[in-house]
Amino acid sequence: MGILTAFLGSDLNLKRPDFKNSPVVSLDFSGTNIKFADPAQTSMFPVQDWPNDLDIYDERCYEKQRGGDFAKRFYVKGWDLTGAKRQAKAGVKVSGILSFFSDEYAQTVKGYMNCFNSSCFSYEVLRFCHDVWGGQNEAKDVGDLGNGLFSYPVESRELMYKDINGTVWCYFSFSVKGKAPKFIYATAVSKYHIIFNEFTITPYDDLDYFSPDTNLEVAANGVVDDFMAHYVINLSKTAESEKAQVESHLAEIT
Amino acid sequence: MALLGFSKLLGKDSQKFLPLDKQTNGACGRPIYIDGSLDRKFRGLKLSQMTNIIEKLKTLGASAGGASSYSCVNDASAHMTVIGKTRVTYKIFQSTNDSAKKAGVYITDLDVDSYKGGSPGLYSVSENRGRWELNEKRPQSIRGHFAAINGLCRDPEHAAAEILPDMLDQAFNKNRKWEGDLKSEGFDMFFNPPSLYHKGLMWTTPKQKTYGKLYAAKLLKDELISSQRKNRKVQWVIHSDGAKLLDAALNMTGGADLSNHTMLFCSPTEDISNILPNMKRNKIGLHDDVMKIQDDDWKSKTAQMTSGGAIKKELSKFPGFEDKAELFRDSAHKSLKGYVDQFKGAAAMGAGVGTLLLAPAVPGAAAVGGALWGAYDTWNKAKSIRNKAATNLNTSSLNPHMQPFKSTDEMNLMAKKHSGSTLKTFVDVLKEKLI
Repeated sequence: MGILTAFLGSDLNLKRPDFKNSPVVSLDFSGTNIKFADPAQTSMFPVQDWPNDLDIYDERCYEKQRGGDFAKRFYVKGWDLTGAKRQAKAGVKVSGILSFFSDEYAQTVKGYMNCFNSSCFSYEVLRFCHDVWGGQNEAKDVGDLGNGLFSYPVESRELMYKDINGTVWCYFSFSVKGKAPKFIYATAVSKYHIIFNEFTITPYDDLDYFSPDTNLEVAANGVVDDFMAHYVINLSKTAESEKAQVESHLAEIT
Repeated sequence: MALLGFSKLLGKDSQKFLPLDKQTNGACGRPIYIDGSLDRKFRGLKLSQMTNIIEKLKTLGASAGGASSYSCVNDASAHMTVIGKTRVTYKIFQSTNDSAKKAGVYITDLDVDSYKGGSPGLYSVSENRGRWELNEKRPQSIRGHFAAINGLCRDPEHAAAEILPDMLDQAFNKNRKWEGDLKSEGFDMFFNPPSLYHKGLMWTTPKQKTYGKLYAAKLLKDELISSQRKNRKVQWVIHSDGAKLLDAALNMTGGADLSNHTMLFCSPTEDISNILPNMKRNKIGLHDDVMKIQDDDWKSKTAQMTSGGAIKKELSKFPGFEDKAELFRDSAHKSLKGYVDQFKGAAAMGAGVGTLLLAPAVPGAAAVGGALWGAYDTWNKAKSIRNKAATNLNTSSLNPHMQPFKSTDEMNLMAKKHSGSTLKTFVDVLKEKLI
């Protein structure tokens, strides 16, 4: 039975991508080095955004957003979670998005921008949530949950933080009631930049994410944890000094 | 055991039939009985769906055998009615020789229409922060200038967020002639359930599959007519099997004016010479390119290659497309010749990579041994064969059917990026073919 299960797969032990033995992507974002494991795509959609080194201060690399900031999806991959008879039961997709908040944008918002500063950072994360799901919730402004169709953070105290490989990541989930949640991990990589890693879990064939018939919830969350566990960021000297500025300012006022 | 008496008339053991509900016991309208074994058809449905279907079945007491029902040619007592998403087959008896069963309506079969992986209809999709998202709320009608019908995909989310936006962008956003701005407006996707066409499905009979497609086509027809009435200009991308659904929908329009719609076929799996006459009749506009097919996409090319003459004839009827008609005819003829040549080439390789990749069934291990020999014979030819073989794979980065706008070189580059090296692309295709 055990051998058969190992060979044919099991719905209660969905097969996940192997992050330990997969190739590693190494990106140079204007001196900041980003490394993460990159298992081969198995989900059924074509990858259009392949990871490349970027001059992250060049506005031409991005698409201008309605709010005046810039965004670029620099990475996308999808992996199927397979169960009995090697059938795909669900997919986990990760999108890496780099947001650029230029000086020009800073003038329109609050006149000052340093993403290493916690109030700037949390405001931008909450604005990300508002921009992406606020429309569907008919929410009027950042901090408003609207009709509550989607639940997502609207206050900075709803954001959680954890240290992964020496980088502090802000993380949270958002969802529509009863459906699979999505997960966001965000961290500042310069005074002007935040990386958002968005994880979308798609149960196939109307499978219930929370059903005990599969271990989908555990397996999907495992993919998110594995991906993030292999994510390493080494800040550039410029970014390090921008970070140090905020820390020394914080030390002065406390 | 042979059926006797009333059971023989029913075609099933009459003991299995139970009263549907106490409200349908015959006090008002005809009594309704249902085959108890049909309970399996309700499995997996939500309570609200089940209640909805039962309520609709109760109306058969009054409506059974009426003008809107279909009657069986071979059996005067047998009828079929479509109620919402449910097809009900039943028999009506004016009298029975079974004292336990009253004369009335006997439901003998029903097909509850459910689609694996999402139900057909409109979904809205919007762009934000460099990523596309399928909106939770489904729109009542097409909102903007852009719409698409999906084809091959695993899920509505994948089609909406990863497959169709790039096609719409390539088709309508690179040229100022088209109306609207894709990124600010977003687009509407008419979801065409892949379960209507592909394996791994919940359809139990071909009839169910046909019925499901007709229901989806009816929804699409309503959408096309509704946006026309609202005088809304809509630019469509029709991907893959979406062409089949469009064909079925246009057949239902009765030649209604749909001149506000403009369409581009991307990797169509239906012979477009069959669809063009209806498009002409409905006054649907054609995109300048008419259709885009990646050079190695055999899935689409085989659908078109035997009808080069017909495509030319039908396309020539659209003013301004005479040259395009000529080009498509030549292209179809070339595809047909190439198709034959590929098999000749593959056969010449013996147990080479060509035979292995093109074979619908998995060949023996000897073929794998010969594969590398064949693959190195002509490097470019092998890459082309690899691309053609990948048209049925789930791995979309290797599959030219999902990339109608890419040149062969771009496709090869994409495959290389996917696998890490060109050599590994062959391994990946072979691996997926063999598993």
